[in-house]
Amino acid sequence: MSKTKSLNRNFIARNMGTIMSYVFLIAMAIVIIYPILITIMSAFNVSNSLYSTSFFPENFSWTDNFKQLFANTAYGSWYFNTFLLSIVTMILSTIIVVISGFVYSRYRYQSRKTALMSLLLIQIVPSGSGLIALYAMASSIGIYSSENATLYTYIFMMLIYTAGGTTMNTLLMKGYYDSIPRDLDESAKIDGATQLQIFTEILLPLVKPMIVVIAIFCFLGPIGDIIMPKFLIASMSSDSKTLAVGLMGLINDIKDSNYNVFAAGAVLAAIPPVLVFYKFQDYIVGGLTSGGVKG
Amino acid sequence: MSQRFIFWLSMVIPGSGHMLLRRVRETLFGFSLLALEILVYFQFILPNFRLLAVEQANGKITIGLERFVDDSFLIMVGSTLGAIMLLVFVALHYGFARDAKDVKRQIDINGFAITFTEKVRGLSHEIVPNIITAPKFILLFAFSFLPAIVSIAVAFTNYKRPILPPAFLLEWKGFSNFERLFTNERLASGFWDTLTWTMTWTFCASVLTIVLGTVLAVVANNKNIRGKKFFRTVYILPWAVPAFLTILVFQLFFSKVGGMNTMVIPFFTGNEYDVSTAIGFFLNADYAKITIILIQAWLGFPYVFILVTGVLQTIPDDLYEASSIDGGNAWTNFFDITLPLILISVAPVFITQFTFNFNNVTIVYMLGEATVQTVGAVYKPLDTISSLGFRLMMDAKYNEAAVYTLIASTFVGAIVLYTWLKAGAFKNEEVM
Amino acid sequence: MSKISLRNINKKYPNADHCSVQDFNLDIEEGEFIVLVGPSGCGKSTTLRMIAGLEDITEGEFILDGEVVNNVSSKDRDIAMVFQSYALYPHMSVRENIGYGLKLRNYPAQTTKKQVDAISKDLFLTQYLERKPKELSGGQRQRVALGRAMVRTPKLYLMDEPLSNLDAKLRTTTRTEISRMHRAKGAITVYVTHDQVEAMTMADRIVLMSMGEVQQIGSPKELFTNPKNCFVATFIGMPSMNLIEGTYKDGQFSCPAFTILVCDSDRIILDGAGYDGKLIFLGARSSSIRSGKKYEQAFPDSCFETTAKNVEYLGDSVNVFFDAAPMNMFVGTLGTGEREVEIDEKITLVIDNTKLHFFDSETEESIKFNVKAAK
Repeated sequence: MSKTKSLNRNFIARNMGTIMSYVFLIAMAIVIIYPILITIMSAFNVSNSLYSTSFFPENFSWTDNFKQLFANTAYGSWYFNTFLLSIVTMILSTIIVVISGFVYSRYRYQSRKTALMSLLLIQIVPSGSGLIALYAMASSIGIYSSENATLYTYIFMMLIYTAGGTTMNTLLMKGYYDSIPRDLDESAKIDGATQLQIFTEILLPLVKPMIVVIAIFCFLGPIGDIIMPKFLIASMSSDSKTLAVGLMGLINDIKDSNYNVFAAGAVLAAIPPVLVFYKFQDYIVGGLTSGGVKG
Repeated sequence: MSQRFIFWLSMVIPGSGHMLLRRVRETLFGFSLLALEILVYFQFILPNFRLLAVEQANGKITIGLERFVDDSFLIMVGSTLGAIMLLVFVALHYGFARDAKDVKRQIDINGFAITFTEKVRGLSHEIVPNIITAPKFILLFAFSFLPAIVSIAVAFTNYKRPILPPAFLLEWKGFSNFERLFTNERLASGFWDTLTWTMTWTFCASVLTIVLGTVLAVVANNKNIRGKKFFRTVYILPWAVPAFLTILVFQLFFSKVGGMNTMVIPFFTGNEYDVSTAIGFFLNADYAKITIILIQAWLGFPYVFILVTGVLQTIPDDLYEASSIDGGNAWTNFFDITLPLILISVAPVFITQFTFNFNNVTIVYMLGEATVQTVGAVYKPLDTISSLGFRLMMDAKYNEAAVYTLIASTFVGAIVLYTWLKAGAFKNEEVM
Repeated sequence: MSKISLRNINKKYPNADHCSVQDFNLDIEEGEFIVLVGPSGCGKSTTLRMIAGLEDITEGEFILDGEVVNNVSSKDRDIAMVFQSYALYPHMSVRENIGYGLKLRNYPAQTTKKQVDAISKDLFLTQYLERKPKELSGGQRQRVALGRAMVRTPKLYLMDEPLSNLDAKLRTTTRTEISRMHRAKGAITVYVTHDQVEAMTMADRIVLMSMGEVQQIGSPKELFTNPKNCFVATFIGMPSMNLIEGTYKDGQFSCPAFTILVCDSDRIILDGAGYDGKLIFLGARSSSIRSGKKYEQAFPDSCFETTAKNVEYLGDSVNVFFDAAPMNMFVGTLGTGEREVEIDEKITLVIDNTKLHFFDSETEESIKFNVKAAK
């Protein structure tokens, strides 16, 4: 009798733990999803009042807010600017990172250690610290006064992002190359492969997961950044803004702010990064746990 | 003619050592280098250096001599470049000197030295990797290193609107920008408030992020929990959505008309929403501070969550089996095996989180825009050292911004460097 | 078919104090199977990697078919190599792995396919051709690595401890397999191992190395019966040779555990070399330590009584361990018919004094080596 009772209590106690765990996990999931859902909901809510007290749209419309978004703001060009900027940055930094990671991992030369050390040290410098000089340099060499000011500024930003993204990522990439046994290179060498063939045919396919991770990071960096564009292009025409600057303006200009329109813009802006993230979720998790722990 | 003589002679005049050793091609290279150096020195370095500090009639020390003619800023950049070039020249001289000494040594020992062609061939595997990685270093130099150095210099000038070159000449101010922070009463108290808040913010945001991420990972990876994939997918969301969007969403959400006031609070209290009694989370300094920490934890925990999940998956089952044979239960398993193993891999994350949040301008600046500056205060309540650097920059007070940036960078740099030195990161072949 | 010479090869890594390989000299004849053997860190792998062109040769000449190829890159040396880790390309199927070397050498796809099929049939890999390496067992991977080398007909096969990741049984069968393939191909093979059994069973000639230096080069039999020094003596043979320091005087060798008479032929050599009254090392293989009446009668002057400290039963023989001196355990291998012994039991043992080895106590060189070699 007493045995069954204690067994029973044990059973409940164990279940209590599991139940509590579920409560905690689900509560946290709600905390995460709720603000996101609210935003999505209000993107489809057409209302003139400043606030809404119901979760579901009071005045549902699939398209109204989006139409307004494109009609009343330069959202289309913000979108284009931002993704063009981040895709070009991504391509450029990934190429640089993949090649230099290979060099640091596979070549043994005198200045290698110095090069790695300087990467490590440059990386300490916070990315914002050179902004004043960058801005002043940009205006001194006449970027802002030129005819193609927008284009030049974007190229300038692209180079800054590329430079900023290559330090840590090169070290990450190098670590990943290092995890591939040199035996494979040597084996390929004996099989008759040139250095270029070893790189393209043996190593590149093997480091693909890390290339994907780094490409994603380099892609997301410029999309999410507000510091650089806020400072470098805030004073430019509305057409030349990025999503971050544009949407921030949309919220803070109290006069003509429409939160539902902002929500529509936010939802559209979030779709590409979220899709990329989900498509490559496993790569990111793998890349992070393989070498990302350090530093 | 000793090796030492050859060395120092080449150090002064590159190629001269080689000339004494009758090495024609090295000599030619050395002399052309010298000619190039002289040209660069007189055409570029010297003119910049001359204008770097000019004493004007009124006793002020300016950068450049004449308004509209000299661009102070370009002179500053040029001088920095010049100084770096000088260092490169010294390094090149050293290279020549070492090579000359080496040639001399080989001649002394063997009676002959390797020829120039052999030397170049031997160096080719040194040169190739350097050339491949050169573009990256040029980028880093131009867009990371050089600006950082020049920004430091800005902290010692009076560069702020309206003193913008080339319409005005910048003036050297020495340490006065720094001194003002401590001597000016209003600035000083503002500075200490900011510093305290910066520390609190960095610590609380980082610790909350790490604790939240770790606890969620441990709970979600419990064997009895089903739907792990679902939870992982949900918990990764805050990382997937660009942070600026989430920050803007939360800025709305916590405003007087946001979802927090219109839906969440009424849901829990049962009271109807009323604009007049709604809480403006960013309108009150204390609320704002708590809210921003919570938002940062919301934004940051997925990274830690994924990391710890990875660690948990690498803990082999036989560790737990061994421990249960030794008489361990679920509780001791957690505290004696799981937790220590997690801590080992999470320890470096503390550093990255601390530095990240210390430097985290994005969230502080963006939410800071929503706050209200209290009367009499110099800065807004959410401003941290780093975000002040940015805000002052936006206000075109470049020299003050540079002071804050310099303080923040030094602080972070020192901490990172210290932890690395302590961890032996520079000796570690894994990093190298 | 080719001939290889290694002349005064030295390898010194930058920043290292010592040479990893010192003054390595070896001529390899056509079709020979050479085994480089030695403890870890002895420089055997480094030597192999220099032959492969994976390491620079600091000094000396490597001659392949009459040409110095020190500066010829690996891919142009026409060699095939099997790695300890197998180094299979994880992203390629077995077929691609085996055919990669042919593909790089621009063989027509048809030929490549035919050759890959043939070699995989030979190695029982046909049904795994489309799999990736990680879907194979250890033994299968090893065979793929072997196949990748064997599919080509290079001048030279190199094998770097190819069996060390296999279990004992698989190792024995693969050993036979490699020997068979070597005979079929007839090309020079240089094989590196730390396992003296592999060396003894497979080699035409063994190169025994220690601390970067060659200790002895010779056929397995030569190394076993006529080791040049203590190191060779103890490295070759299982269990390893018993060694003890003692005094040689008036034709007798005495150490704490026993005193035995040295046989006449050895006595002439020892006395002739002036070792009378000096300390020397005595080496005795466990197979020459026996027991029983038959041996006691055959070698009456080298019997002694001792206590069995440990006994290992091996089926057709028994290993008996006893103390020859403090911290120096001797082992004798008794046949099944000889005498049954238990632990801590007193036993009379006999040393076959015609099969003894003697080493100088300072240089540890074999005293008999030069004499024997001269014969």
